[in-house]
Amino acid sequence: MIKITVNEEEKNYQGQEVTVQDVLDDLSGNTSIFIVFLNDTFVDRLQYLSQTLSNGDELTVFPLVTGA
Amino acid sequence: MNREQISAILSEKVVGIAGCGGLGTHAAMSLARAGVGTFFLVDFDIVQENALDRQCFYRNQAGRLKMNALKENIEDANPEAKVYAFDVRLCPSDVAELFQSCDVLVEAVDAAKTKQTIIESAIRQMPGTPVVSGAGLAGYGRTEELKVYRKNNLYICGDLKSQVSDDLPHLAPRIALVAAMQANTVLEILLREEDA
Repeated sequence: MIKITVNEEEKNYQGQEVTVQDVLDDLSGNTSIFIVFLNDTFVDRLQYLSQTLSNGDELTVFPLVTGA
Repeated sequence: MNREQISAILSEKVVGIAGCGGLGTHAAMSLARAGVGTFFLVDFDIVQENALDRQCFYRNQAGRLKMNALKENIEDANPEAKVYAFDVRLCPSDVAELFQSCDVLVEAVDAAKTKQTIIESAIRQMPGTPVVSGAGLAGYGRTEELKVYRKNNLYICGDLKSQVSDDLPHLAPRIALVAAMQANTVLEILLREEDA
């Protein structure tokens, strides 16, 4: 079991390896465009698809939708 | 701080506005009235009559470049303001070049993908510069769902979920609310820095 905090909410993931993309796939919403921070570090989209998460990691995810 | 002290501080500050549409025009006008001294405006588009229902432009400005029309409106509201306007379609490499000298960058474009590009570029290329973005403002009502989200130097105003659609159109009040939240956050950053 891997415990990760996503936007201050604790989530448990089964399995050997969990990536940022796995977490994003689980987030319900109407966008697939995100800004992501892992712990206090910004992770851009070129990196986060395969970024592996560890037990206790904190992920901050901002979904981006239309502005004006 | 009293109004004179605030005005003295803001007059020395530089704010970048990426996108001169609904968010950018309302945020810029609010900051101009508050007394921000210098603006860098970036947009490639022209003022369109069918967008006057949500953008802070006037009918006689239709057909003009948005950044020039906004420059004129800012200077009308605050004749002391210095306004530099750039007719540019932003790409990642431009972000630092255009906004490097700004104390704060207001991200105010419409498309989510472009927002992502600007935010990512700003965080990577100028990590010390706060970015104040707006996302999630479609429709009307639900004022209590609008918030300021923060991580490090990134601030995002809005509800992060209201995507524009036929059933959830752009409407001026909610756009202006989010733009005002962006402007208010900019003031908080600029005045807090000075206070520290």
